[in-house]
Amino acid sequence: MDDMRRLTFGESGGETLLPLSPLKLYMMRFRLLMGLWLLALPTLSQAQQRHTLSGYVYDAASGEALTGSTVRILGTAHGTYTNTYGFFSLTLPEGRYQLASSYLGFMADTQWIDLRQPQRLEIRMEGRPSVVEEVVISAACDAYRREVASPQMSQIQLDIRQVKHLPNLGGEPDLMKVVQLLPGVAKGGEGTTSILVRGGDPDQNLILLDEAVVYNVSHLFGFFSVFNPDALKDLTVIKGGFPAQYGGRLSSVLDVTMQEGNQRDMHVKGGIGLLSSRLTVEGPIVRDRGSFSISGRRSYIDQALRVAKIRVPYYFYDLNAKANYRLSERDRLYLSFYRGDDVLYNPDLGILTDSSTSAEDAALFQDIDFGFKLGNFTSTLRWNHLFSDRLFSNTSAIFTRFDYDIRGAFAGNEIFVGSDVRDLSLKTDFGFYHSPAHTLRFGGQVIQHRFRPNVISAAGDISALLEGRETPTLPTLEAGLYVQHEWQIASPLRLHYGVRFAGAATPGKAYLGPEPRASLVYTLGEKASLKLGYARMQQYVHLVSSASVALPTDLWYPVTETVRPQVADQIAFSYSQHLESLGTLLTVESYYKRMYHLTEYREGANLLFNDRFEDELLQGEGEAYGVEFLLKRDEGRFTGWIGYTLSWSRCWFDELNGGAPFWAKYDRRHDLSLVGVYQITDRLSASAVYTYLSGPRFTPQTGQYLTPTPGFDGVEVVPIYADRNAVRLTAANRLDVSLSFRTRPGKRFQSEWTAGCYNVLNAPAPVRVHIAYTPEAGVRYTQPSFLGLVPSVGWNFEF
Amino acid sequence: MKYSMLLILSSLAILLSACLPDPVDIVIPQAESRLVISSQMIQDQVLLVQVGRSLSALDFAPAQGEALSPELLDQILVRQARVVVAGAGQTDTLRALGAGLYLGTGITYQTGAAYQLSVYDSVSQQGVFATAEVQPAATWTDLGYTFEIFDYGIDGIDRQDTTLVLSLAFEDLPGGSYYMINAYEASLTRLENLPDFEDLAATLLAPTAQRTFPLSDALYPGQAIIRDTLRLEGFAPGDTLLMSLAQVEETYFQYLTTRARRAGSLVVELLGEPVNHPSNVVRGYGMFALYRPRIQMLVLE
Repeated sequence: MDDMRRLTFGESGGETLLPLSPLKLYMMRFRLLMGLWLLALPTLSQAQQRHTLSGYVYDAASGEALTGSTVRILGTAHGTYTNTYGFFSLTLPEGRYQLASSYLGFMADTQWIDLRQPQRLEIRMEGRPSVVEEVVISAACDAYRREVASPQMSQIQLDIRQVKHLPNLGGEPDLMKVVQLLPGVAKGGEGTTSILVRGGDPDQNLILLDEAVVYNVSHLFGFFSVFNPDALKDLTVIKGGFPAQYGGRLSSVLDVTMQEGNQRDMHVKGGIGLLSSRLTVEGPIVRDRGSFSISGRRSYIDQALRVAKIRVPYYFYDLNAKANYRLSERDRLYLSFYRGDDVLYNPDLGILTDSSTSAEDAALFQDIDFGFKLGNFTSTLRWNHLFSDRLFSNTSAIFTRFDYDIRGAFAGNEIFVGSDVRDLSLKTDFGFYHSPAHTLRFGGQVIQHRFRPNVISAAGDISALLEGRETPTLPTLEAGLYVQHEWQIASPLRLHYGVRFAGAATPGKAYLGPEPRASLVYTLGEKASLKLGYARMQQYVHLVSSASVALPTDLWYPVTETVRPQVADQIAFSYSQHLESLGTLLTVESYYKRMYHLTEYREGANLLFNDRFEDELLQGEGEAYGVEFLLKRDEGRFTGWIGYTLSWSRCWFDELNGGAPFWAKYDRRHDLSLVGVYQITDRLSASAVYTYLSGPRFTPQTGQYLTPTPGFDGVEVVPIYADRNAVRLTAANRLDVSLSFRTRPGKRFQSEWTAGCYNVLNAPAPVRVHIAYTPEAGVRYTQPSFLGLVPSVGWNFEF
Repeated sequence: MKYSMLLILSSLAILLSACLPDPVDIVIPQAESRLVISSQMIQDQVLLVQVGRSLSALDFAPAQGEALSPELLDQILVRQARVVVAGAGQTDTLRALGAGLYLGTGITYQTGAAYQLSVYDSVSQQGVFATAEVQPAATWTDLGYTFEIFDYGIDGIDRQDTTLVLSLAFEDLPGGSYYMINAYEASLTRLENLPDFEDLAATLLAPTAQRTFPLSDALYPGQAIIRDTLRLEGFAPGDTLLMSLAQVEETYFQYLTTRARRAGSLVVELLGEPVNHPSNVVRGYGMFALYRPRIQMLVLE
């Protein structure tokens, strides 16, 4: 859907990126290739006089750029869509054309253009009021036609407005939990925000917020995501067939953009949920020239329960801020920030004591002071520049930080454990819209990573027992150059192909390798198509975490002399059919992914207080394959989707499971999601989500034996476990519903009440495995549920 | 705002009292029962082999210090097996001592020679075999100790922790070598009470993993004498300590390191991925190992 969004040209980097002779060789080839392309493209033009029609598409009410809106010439096959910044460019033979623009949720815009010379347009689209009666669904038709005709595969764009209207836990709309409902995307544990895409691990997802990598996407130990929906504008999920501009992760790209702010009027919006409240202020800096948006969110369960004299000393908060300013017709600046933290401060550990606790131990608990703080900070400065009507560029300077501090104190002793990762990145992307048949995108990125995986310090007498240490800072330079040609070979055949030359340099070792990407579409008329795609991805950082649980304190670690980059090759084949009479799009896609140098940890590895991660690290291979079905409807009184995934995922490591292949922990065979929003009246809507998900796998104890201790001074019990991940846990199914009622449209002050129910069937939603040891019945496993039926209520407002 | 707060609090109350579905039972296929082997060589002519049987995970859940019932012991101990050791041109059929223990005295074991153990249990009609190589003896060159005393106070109550720091040294044998060091508190040592086999088999002792240390000479490259320190908790002046040193085969070393990893950290126990102990017993569990421990006594003052 969005295969022309990041239009890139790369002259950054150069030979100085990595001081390597292979890099110089690649650079020479890259330049030669670029030169040939640029020389060849003009000869592809027809002799007839051609002119470029370019411009931006905006929301007429707010002045914000509309990403991915369709711009096409009626009566012809020519068309395109806007990039992230709302820009489009079409080069056409001289003539008179009827230009149509469409975007979901907006009235279609049509105008006649007399193209005798280059023209630049500003198209402002009017929002459409809520649906009262079924209307002609032109925007969705345009979007589906474009999706059918695009070679881009495995890509889904989510409407943030839809995210807000879906049922959620505790009245907190959560972007990541909606992403989990898409085919090919599975969740980690019940109730958590982690995602596993096509058999990949959670660290294999490139999660970008205004181009900055977000290393930790969760609050409250994974139960809520860091994305405040009020602060967001768009979300694009790519599960495979990655365009060449993306690199650095194996499994998926989640590209999230923050809203720019209203260019015309001041607006305030917010919401109050059971766990947190949100407030956003946006408005013009200079009308129609620049705007800002500031959003804040904070959980207040600590404050609310204080009323009932219950002490919960935990909160999280998010702060998003963004500003943009048009410097000239050709230049625009964007500056965005995000800051979010989880904070636990001085909890009352006295609650851990009971009547059996000795006075001495109770005093110890009372005396302990413990707390932590962890969070992300990102900032992005972007400069859009239009070199010509056909050459668009964006250059970004990006800073990202993720860190955590854990501190504990008792009886005059203190312990501090910390870790952080910081990235400083420079990125440039160019897009050259030669003609409707040829678009060239290229660019580059260089990232200076600084990993400080583990810092431990102690003060007081305890420092004699716990040696303070700091893992050496690990500087890593990651760089990539890419080029991609989008080529309409013939009327039914379109090809996107390109390559990304990426590498990473770490002290003592450098890795470099090409990542070819290609996708091809063959259209069967206007409404159906067959697609084929291949992509290679490489990953230079990975997450150090226990195999059993995910903690927000998991550490990120780069490639080293001995730890090689993870690599994945993925091929996919799909069939798309626009079912116009139903207003739906059906996509069936199958994939096979082979992964190399996957990382796992030695059996029994202890990663806590351990600064020798490499000694515990193993590398192996894996594969994942499956088929995904998606039937979606994006406009009309009833919207939503049906997603189903049938998949397999397994891996093999020489030193795990005796060298035999084993199923991945999250090898979930069936994943079904039914998502629906029904607009009952213009003020009342109802929504429901039903999910069925096969259980993850685990390794249970199946037997035991007694044996003398190695010193023959006693007897001990040795457990016997099944093969790794041999047993599948219980499947889970859940139905969530919600009802929204908003004030009459047209009023200045708009508000909306949302009442919902999570797990309305009160079905078991297993979250973990509980092991019980009983003398007579041995080892018994049960799965307690995360939550049963939970009602919620929320109130949102806007003025 | 007041009404909103009331609404939030009442909603929270509903949320907290929301019903929770019953936990779901997981049906686990159980492992079949197999023979379990362990061995101990005493000097160069005495071999002690214990033969047992594995149980399903559902049969019982052991608790530290608990005495096993006679019924369970009958289920576990294999008292009537045929146990044969053969190697270096000699064969010895071990005799049953009771409690699943079998004693062999008919072979003088030769360093470097491989011996095969065959066990057949006529009751279960199961047979297993394993092969091990006799390891050379390693000897201590130095063994010393100090106590570290750590004083601290909580709410005015003085506390004290004592750590025994052992400094040890021994000659590294040629080639890639693996060692096992055991620390025994003399009062707990069962070596003096070997005839009381039923008692030994029937009582689960406190795990001694913290006092068994597998060690590879790969960590001491280029050192003819391996020197290191060990820290032990639970010892105090007046105790008697027995320190045992033995060179072991790599497979047994892997068994020991797996055991140490599992038992060495509560975090690993709780959060780590389950791990099976390696075994060199074909169609069975446990380890058949032939090594010569050398013991030195320390009276802690």
